[in-house]
Amino acid sequence: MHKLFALFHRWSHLNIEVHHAVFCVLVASLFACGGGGESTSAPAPQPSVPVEPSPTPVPQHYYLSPDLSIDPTLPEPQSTTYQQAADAVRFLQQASFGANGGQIQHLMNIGTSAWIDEQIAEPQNKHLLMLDERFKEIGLIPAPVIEDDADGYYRDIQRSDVWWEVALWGKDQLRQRVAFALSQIFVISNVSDVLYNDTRGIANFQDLLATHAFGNYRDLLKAVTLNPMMGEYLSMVRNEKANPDKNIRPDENYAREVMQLFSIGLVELELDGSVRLAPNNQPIATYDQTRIKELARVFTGFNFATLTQWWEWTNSGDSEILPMKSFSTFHDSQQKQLLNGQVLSAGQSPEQDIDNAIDNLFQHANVAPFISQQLIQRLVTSNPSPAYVARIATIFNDNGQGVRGDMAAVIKGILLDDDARNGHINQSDTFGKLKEPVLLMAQLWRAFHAEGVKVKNPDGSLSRERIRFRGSDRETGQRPYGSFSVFNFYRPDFQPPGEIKESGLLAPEFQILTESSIIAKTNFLSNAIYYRDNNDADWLAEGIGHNWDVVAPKLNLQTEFALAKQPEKLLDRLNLLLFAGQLPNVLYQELLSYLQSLPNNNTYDQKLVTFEALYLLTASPEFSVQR
Amino acid sequence: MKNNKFFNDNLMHHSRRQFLRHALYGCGSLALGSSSFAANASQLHLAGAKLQQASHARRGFDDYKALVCIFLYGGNDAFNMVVPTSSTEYNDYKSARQGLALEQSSLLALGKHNNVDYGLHPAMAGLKNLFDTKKMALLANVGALVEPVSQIAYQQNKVLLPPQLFSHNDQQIYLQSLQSASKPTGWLGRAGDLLMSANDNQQLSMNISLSGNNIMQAGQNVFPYSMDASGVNMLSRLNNDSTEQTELNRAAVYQRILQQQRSHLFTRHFANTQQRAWALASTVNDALAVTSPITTPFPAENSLAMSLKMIGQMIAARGNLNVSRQTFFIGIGDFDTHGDQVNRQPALFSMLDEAITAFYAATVELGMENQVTTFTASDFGRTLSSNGDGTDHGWGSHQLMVGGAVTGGQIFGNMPTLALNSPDDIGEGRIIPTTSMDQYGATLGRWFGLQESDMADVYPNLHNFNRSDLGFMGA
Repeated sequence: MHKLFALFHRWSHLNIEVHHAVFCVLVASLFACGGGGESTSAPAPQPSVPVEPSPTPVPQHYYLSPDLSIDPTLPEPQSTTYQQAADAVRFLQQASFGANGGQIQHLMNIGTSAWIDEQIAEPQNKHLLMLDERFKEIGLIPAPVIEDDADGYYRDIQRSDVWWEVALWGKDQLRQRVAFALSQIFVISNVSDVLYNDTRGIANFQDLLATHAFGNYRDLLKAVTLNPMMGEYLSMVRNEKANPDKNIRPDENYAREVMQLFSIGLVELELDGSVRLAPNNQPIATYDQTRIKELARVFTGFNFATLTQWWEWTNSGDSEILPMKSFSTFHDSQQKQLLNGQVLSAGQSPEQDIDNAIDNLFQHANVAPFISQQLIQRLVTSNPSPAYVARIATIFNDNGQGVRGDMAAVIKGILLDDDARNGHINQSDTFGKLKEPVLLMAQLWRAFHAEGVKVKNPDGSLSRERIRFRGSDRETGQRPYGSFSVFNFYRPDFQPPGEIKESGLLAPEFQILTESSIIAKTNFLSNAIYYRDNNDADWLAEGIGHNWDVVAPKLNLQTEFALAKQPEKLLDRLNLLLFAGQLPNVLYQELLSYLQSLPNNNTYDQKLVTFEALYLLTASPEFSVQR
Repeated sequence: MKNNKFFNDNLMHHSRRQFLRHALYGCGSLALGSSSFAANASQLHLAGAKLQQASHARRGFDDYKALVCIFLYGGNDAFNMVVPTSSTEYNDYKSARQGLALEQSSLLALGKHNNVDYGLHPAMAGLKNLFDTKKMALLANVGALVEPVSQIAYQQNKVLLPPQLFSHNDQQIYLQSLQSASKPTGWLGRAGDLLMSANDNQQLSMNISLSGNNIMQAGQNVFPYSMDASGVNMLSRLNNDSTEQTELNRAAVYQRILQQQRSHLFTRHFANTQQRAWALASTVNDALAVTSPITTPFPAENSLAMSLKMIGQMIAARGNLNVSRQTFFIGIGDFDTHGDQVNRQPALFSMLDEAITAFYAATVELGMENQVTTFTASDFGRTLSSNGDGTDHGWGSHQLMVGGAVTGGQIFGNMPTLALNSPDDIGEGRIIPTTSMDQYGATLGRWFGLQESDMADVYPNLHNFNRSDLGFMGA
């Protein structure tokens, strides 16, 4: 919990994040000062358990293992089921962290709608529980009374391991993929040191997003608002009512961003996401500075749940987890004027004010198109047609049973929409999205059943398999919970200069594709493929150093090695598995003649043929774009 | 020896370079890119027209100049960076800022501006020294404006304003583009469109970013080239100059993959980016490899300093890169001090101080201090009033300009009154800027080589202000 600056440890100086390192400064005002504080009638803080309601019971001895099942044989191009398989891969690229043989077959068996229902019912993997177990394994107290900042980066490596293991090995694929999308709308980040050493809090925030991924948007917005990580990140925690004697007025940070980024956006939208224009042809602002100031007064009087006095400081692990609690003395209880003329009468409790303000935002007509469009962009395509946005926004406004904000219905609508299923045919030159680096790597690793690496713990013991990719920002230009600011890795309306911008198209993910990141990412792909199969990577058996933050996992490539004797068979499989059968023929032929020119006399040659095929394919422009 | 190596490398690379230059013609800098493989006729026509335009406008310079922009993302609270120390004005400041105010005695004396004494934040001793030796100037209360704004005109909605004042990304876009258009280009990008032809090297963009994509350096034809503080990486296992035939074969296949005709705009853009990155990596690396390393010490654990050091290295390599005009962009974050400002700000200012001071020293080492001008910009200033723990989004703010060509030791522009509810305040101490970013940029751009006839294109609202040159750049 870091009001105090902390030295941000880095494994390598080759860091493409913009950050600065500063030094610990102890400041008297951060210690309990006494005076002015007042305990509230709120219940005593709960012990360290996840506070988001769990839809399912929690398993014991909680860890995930690599999926080492052998892939079923995939249909060949001439097969009558080939197109069905290709469609399944396309769907899985949108709805999961990537396709593999088993998932393709399963989806072909049950169909997309049943697959989504199955995924919604699938028990949620809980990052925080796994993380706490992991802390114990490596001799760290999960939630120490006083945190040691020296552990901060090491702890965050563990959190990142859990994130990646769930993404690659979890069965709750759709839930976690949607949570990743939500983490790019409701953004918190530990790139700056505000959330340094708040590892459990970030894991819990991830769980919060995943829990509400199929819940109701209104509950999600409230949970995010009261979450202490968001409270710290956007400085709502400890925000107090005005003190005119000191020219102090409420902090506007959360009030502004909850409207601009998490709910309604800056300008009025039509149901189809297009900007509504006033008679003078200008956009209509959804709010002005006055509305921000009013809303800022709503978000006063909240502080960490583990405190009994407003001015106390807390460093406890639980304060990262428990929803912020109110201290009514510090809450502005005067009348407030919200959006659309709604008035909060004076004298309401902090909780009533928050509930009413969340409802005020939730009922705004912008929420449906604003959130729907961004979810479509994260899952399916950067440039959804207005009709597609309107169809999803309609579901957002009413799921058919009179419920507004039903996220499960929205997600299902997005994925089953005709545009999602057939956009690559009907809008062949523009449909889809650049895969952000996290998704690109995840798709490779899921396709080939990546095994993790064992880690040599500080006490000499060897860990279970881990997916160690905390340094993904350095290697590829992106890291979950590592965006530069609350404005995410990229803006939803980013247009790279040149042809895409001149065409009026949006391409958010291109904001982080630069000459520098594209080379880094391509090089990482190369390192993640050559000699990374689980037979060759012997050196990994003895375990990597405990504080390494990037090691590409081992791949299971037996199926591919076996096909490499006949390069066209290998290419057919990779085309289906990685490209949903969309590899252009001219590229296929280019690759084929290259692979055929390579020595192919023994199993070693066949490995090399496989590596060559995989590297050139995954480094191709076609693999980088989900269509 | 070094020069010989470069010469040899150059010969070895020559044919490949020629090939790549041809393949990339326009892609890195001049036009629509190798997208034209699949571009339709009208696009080709457009590209051709642009190339023609660029060649008509070819500029030549017999000197080298660089502009280095340090963008302070989040909105820097410069009202704590430059503070009045005369008692009346300090008391206004103290009373507005309360717990955020700096001690009067801690401020580093800068001397008088309009008969009021000012001081610099105590963490900026190095910059104070640059100010004293006339290598640094300050610009007071500059910000995003379309036209001059008075408090009354603002309150009565009788003035044109930039869109979405106080919103981070909107203000970043406005200050970097100076446009309210739906597809804005940046003012350094537009400067690049006009001046890029001056560089013999037409492959490497005139605009180089150490912080990835940004609007400021993106013009119609010139886009930022992105590199890291650590330099430029080469593509693994795809070395065109490898001594191993297998690698050469692989590289040839990959080159052909990238050059395939593509109808999807995203795959095409990816392919163009990769080709450009691949070709320029060797250009830049070769030039850096034969350039003597800067020996000026830079502070460790300071990411801004690391980026500035690389910029210094690129400036040192200007001859090998064959460039005469360059802009560099660094964006650094965490200036959005809503919370914990009292602790955060000294660290941020100390980072700036150490990094900029070292960079200026490095330009002296290179003998280039008069050719390189460093300047700051930021989303907006911050409220004078406190939210208890920090400040919120404001408007006008002070900026720094550093370099031998800067008329240093002075504060330019007009200092606002810091009393709350003064005529400069539109509420909570959000201060109306008295100088526009157009004026600030134009003063820099004129020094950089823009002509008077360029000004309206690059700084579209400059004509709304009575001074198009603020005078802080020496003749």
